[in-house]
Amino acid sequence: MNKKIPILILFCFAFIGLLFLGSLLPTLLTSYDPNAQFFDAILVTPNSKHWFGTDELGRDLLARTLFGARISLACAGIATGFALGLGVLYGGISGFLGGKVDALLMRVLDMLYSIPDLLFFILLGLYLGRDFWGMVLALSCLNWVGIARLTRGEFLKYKVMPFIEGAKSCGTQPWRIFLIHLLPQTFVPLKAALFLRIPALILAESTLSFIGLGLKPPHASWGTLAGDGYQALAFYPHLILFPALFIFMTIFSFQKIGTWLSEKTL
Amino acid sequence: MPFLKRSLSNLVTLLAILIGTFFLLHTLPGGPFDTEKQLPKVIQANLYEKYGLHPKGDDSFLVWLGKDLGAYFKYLPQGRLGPSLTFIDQDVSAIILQALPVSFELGLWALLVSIIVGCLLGILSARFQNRWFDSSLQTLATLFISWPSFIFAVGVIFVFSIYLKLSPPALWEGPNFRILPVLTLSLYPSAYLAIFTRHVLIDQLKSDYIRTARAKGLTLMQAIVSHAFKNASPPVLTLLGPLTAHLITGSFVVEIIFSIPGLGRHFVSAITNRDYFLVMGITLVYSTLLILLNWIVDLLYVWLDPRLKQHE
Repeated sequence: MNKKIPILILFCFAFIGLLFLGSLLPTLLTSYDPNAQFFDAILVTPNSKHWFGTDELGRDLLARTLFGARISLACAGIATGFALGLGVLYGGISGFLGGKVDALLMRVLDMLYSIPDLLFFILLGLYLGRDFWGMVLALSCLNWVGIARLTRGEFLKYKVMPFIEGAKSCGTQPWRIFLIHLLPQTFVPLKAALFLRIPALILAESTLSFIGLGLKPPHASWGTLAGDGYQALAFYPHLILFPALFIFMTIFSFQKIGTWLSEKTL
Repeated sequence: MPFLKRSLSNLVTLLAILIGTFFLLHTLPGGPFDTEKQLPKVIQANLYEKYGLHPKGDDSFLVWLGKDLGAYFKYLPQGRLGPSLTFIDQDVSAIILQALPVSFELGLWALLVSIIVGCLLGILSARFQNRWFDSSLQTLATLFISWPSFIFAVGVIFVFSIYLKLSPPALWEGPNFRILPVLTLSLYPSAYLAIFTRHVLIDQLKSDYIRTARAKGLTLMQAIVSHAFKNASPPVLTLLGPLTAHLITGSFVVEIIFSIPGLGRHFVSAITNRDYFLVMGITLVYSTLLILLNWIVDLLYVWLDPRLKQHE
């Protein structure tokens, strides 16, 4: 077993760490308010005063990108958390009970699997109001299916193992077997799945915000920023460059770590 | 009868998706005949009447929902999916029939490009395993996998349309208009296939029959193309299922960015206009496609690996 962490993975961790820091404490990196307007500096290209330049309303893009990170990451992170809770519960119950209940629950999952997800995401987003919590809910509604499948698989695998039989023969309550004996077995595969789920959600949210169907203003995620910048692509490419770069780097880092984790556990 | 059982469950799935969409769509705030300038009450009532729909708030919730559901059954016996509420005097099926070939062409080109490019690069990568060609290609492919398609679209528009002026940035009129959207859409599947094909091939290259083939004098390339690739193709073929699903749902983002008059773009505008019949029609098409695709993939699994049949 190779204990050394590849350099690229270290970079990915560092990037995500810095990103978290930057989005939690944006004031460390910028002294500007993301909504403050500088009328003497409208649509300026990156310079020493505005590192990422400013947009058509004279707002500092570095500040907007950092505050956008907050929304993008929080949205994807919280939605993944919800999806994880729902998926583990659903898959856990399905795998734990087995039999007819399992068959029925799995039929429902198969059904959800055939849903055109991005299209439903648009509908759900509109339905729930296109604000922050609406997006989070819409994202988590459509992303727990894979987690449920994974959890069920793990439960089925470990349910027949001797240590569970041992616990049963000691008279352990079923809920204790579920929570204390079976649930922890799912942690390792789920950790990798989580790192792969988060970028998928960042992608979905930013894609929809980019085409104008995601978060409503005044919320501005990276997708919104990129979408705004796209309008002026020919003349002010710096508007889209930085949000796009951040989306790409974030998705790349999470994915690299996720693949690395899942390969490591194999 | 597994066939009958599967058809039945697919039908149930389709119905469930349609009912879910119907419920979400009709309970969305706003109605199809809301305009910037409020229409006179009588005209609005007439419009609702004409299409067999009912304004919200006149009846209790469930009664109103039932009445709206009834509107669909007004048209179904005539073999119609209903009229469009925004495109006057156009049937939903006519709009879909106009838009579907466009989406289909886009998807088909993207699929073709990704199969050819993906498999070819995968083969080359396996041939030059662990040499600079392989490693740089695989790094590039992993980069492309995490590259969001809308950002890639923006990139190619910027480089090829604005800077080099080689290809138009939008619309769907001549062969020249196909290049950028197809490129964007096939990016992810090609990268994925390139990585996957290499992975499967390298697994195959370790087996004995390859050693035999090499011993009788075949070059590595010949051995890959005529022996290893054949055995590597089942897993690659089954991967095409999810990739095609990705193309179907991913196409709508590309259609919007490049203003391609396909199904996806209609879907989005239909939702924002609350064009009920059109949204339901397009949902029907998309879900049917996805369900059929899942089915085909499952059949393909069994066909390629008959051992799976015994498990059933």
